[in-house]
Amino acid sequence: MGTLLRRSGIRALGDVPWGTHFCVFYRSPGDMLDILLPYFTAGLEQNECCVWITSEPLQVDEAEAALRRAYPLFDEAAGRGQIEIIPHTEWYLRDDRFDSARILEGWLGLLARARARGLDGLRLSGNTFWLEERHWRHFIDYEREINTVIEGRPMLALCTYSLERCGAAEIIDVVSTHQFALVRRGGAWERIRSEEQRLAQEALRESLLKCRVVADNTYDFEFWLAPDGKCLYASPSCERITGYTAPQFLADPGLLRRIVHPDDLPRYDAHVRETEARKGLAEIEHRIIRADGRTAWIAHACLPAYDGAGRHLGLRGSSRDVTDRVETERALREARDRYRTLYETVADGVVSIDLEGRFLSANPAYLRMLGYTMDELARLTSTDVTPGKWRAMESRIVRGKVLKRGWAPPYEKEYIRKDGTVFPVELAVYLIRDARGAPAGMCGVARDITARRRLEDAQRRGREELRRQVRERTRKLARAVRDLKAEIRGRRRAEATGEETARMLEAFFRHTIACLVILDRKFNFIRVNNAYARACGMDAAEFPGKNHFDLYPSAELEAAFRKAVATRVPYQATARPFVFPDHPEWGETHWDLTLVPVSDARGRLDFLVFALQDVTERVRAEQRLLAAERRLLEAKRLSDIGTLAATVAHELRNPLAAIKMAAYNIRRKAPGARLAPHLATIDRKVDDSDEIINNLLFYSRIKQAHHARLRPASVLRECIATAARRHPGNRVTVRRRLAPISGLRIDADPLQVRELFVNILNNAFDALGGRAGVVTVEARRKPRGMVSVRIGDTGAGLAPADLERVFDPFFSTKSRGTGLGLTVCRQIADLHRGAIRIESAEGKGTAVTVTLPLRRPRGNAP
Amino acid sequence: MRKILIVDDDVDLCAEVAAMLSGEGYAVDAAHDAAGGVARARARRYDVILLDFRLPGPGAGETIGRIRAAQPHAKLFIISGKPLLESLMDDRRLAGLVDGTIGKPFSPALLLSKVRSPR
Repeated sequence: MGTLLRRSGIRALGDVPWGTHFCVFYRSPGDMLDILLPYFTAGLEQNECCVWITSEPLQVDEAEAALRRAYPLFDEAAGRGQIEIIPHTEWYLRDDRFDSARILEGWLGLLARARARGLDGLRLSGNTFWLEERHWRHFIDYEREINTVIEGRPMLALCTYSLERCGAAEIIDVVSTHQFALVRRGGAWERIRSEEQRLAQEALRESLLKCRVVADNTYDFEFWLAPDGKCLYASPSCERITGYTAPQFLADPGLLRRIVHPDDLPRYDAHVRETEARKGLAEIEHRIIRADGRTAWIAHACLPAYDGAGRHLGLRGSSRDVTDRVETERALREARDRYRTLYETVADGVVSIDLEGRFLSANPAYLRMLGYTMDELARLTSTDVTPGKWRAMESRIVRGKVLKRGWAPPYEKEYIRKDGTVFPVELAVYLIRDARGAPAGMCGVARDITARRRLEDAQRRGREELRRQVRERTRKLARAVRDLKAEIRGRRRAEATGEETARMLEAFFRHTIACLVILDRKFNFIRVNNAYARACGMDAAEFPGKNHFDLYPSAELEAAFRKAVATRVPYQATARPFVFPDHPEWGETHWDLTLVPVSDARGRLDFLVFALQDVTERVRAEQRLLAAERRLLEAKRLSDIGTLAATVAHELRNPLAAIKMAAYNIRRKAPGARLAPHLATIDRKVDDSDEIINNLLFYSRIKQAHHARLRPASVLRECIATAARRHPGNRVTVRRRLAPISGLRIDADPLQVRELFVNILNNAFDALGGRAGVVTVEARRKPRGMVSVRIGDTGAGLAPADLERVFDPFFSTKSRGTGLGLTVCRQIADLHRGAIRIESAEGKGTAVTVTLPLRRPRGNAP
Repeated sequence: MRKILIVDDDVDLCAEVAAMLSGEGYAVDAAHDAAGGVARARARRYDVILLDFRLPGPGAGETIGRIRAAQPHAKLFIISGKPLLESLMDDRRLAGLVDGTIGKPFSPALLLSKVRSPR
């Protein structure tokens, strides 16, 4: 509150706030000057208006002389009207009468004049030497009133009393009407204070402190403008909000208006005028340009302030930074507009209906789709636009899906347009809930799939159509050749008109997009058209004289051509593959071919018309289609396998059980070495069959792992034993390194893990194919709670192309087996949130590494 | 002599199992459908019963119930090639009626160990 505290100039006092009213008891004029000279000098230095009412023992000219000595710039100050020295007779005792009301008004008049001249406030002092006993009561009342006038105003008042002229009673009166008194004791000035004043002062200081703490710590920018527009207070938060500091606002009254964004100034000025006129709270939101140049949004409110006595103290204002809120609102508005635009312009129809099916709203696309206006649609229900055959299905979807879980995946149905036509749509439906979460209606997104249906039909018909076209083209070409022959015959008959026809044919030959070639009977080129030359990447002039099969050798095609020449029956082929010998980079191309032999009038072969059509693109598209179909079939086969596998397993295991039992019974009834190897084969093959069934079953049913605690080391030992038993008589050395996981327990499905290891071990044993070799089983602890098992063999290894496919279902490099072993392994690893990796080098061997987590991971398996 | 009843619609399997078990000193009866199995169980006391899970006739649960009612003291095993046979024992009601499952194709050793195991 720097502006409110003033330097008193008096050493014993220091700073005092505006509104301080105090007195000095002097013994001599020297005492008085000792106080008053520094008092006024400080006032003059601080841009205050100083008024000194003199009386005996100090005359005006003595006072002036003393002050001029103390303050060298006295004359300039006097010239500006900043200092006035007035004799008491012209101030207190006009017409020898003491009128306190007049004097108080006088002070306020002086204050107003001072503020009008741009001075900070009024610093006054009056000597009371003139006081007589008859004035005493009045004067003490006046001193009391000074307290209320001066409070809250930029005024300081110092009254000087002669100690000689005051008795004890008077001193008590004086001390009690001033905030404090100064007396000289033993050379030093000392403060005397009445108890009452001291308490009041302390209360005041305390409340001032509270106000100060509140004001200085406000989050918003709080300020106080004096009636003349000067800034009396600015809270430190102004710096956060505007980038300018409080002293900057205090020193520069215009700053507050200058930071207002130029576009918002008219509104801001109107607000200021309104505040002044209304004398009540006024609010405005406007932008400011911060000190750093950024724009901020301010919510500003202000209120004219008055003191207890109803005096106008200026304007109390509060500014809050609402940039974030305004920005959020703007972003929200924009998003809403964007969605609105999307809703209006999206190609899909968007519609909302209530639970009775009445239309609530629909976007333009929906209205266009159905041909209704919104007004017309609002009178209908969704049943009205749905053909009867779809209603039962749709209400099942609504009851069973939408109302139950809040949405339904897209389904296909039909709509009836206003004109009665019916068209297919794909519809996705969502439940709309009200604010309490209760179902309120449904929102549908509809897509007209007429075009898609047409496309699907077209695709279905496409291949047939293409075949038909090839036949058609061949027929047309044959007819054209026949016509040409007739034409030639005609030409021979009438050479005169032939010229015109020849020109026509020439133009056709030259410009048709079909590739056309004329060959002689030995298949030498006579002529080719531009389309053909372009397709071959050559110039048409390069062909004549060359032999077709020299350029494009093909024993097969040559044989076909010879047959056509011999029989005179046109040769025709569709989608014949061909690789240009001089352009291998074009890859395999496909051609529809027609070769028509043309005979002359005597029936002798004249020449051959060879027409070609590049159908490479079509064939590639067909191949893609076929591949997609194959994948679909595969997928279907896989789902069928599930049912099939379960049946086969059951049906096949019965006979296997019987075979196994029979082998046992034979062995028991006819013991001896002669049958033993054969019975062993039966046993092994039954086991193999059972393994195949297991894999098939496993592959076809994706089942969750049933986790239990197991020791992987023991499981591995068992599995190695099982695999070794299944490959008796081979010369395999098994190297185990299971020590790192011995005693370790993991959470896993025991059956699945056994399946996993047995499959990999069987592959390893099979890879050695009866040759001597080594199977290595190494187990390790891995970081992040994993355990890894690497099973390697020294077998034949896999070709890189095969390596890519080993996890594909039904892929096998072995003559025996379903091609499901590793597929199942990967499935098991996945189910356990583990991993499986395979490395292989041809001729060196293969290694499969399985990584499994020690503990069951949280969440669902993939 | 300990008596064993095998109920399975695969006549050949029954014959082979019967031959094997007779060799081990058991008296074996066979039945090939649910009704036959229940009739046998009601006629004579058995130590062990091997029962195929899927039999011609009424449902498996019912057949097992009837046989168990007739033979409260016999060891009763389900023999089947059904996938995930072990999971049958997750059914509390069934687990209360039977003593275990034996998956086909079983080895003679396994079958004997089950047959010989104490109840």
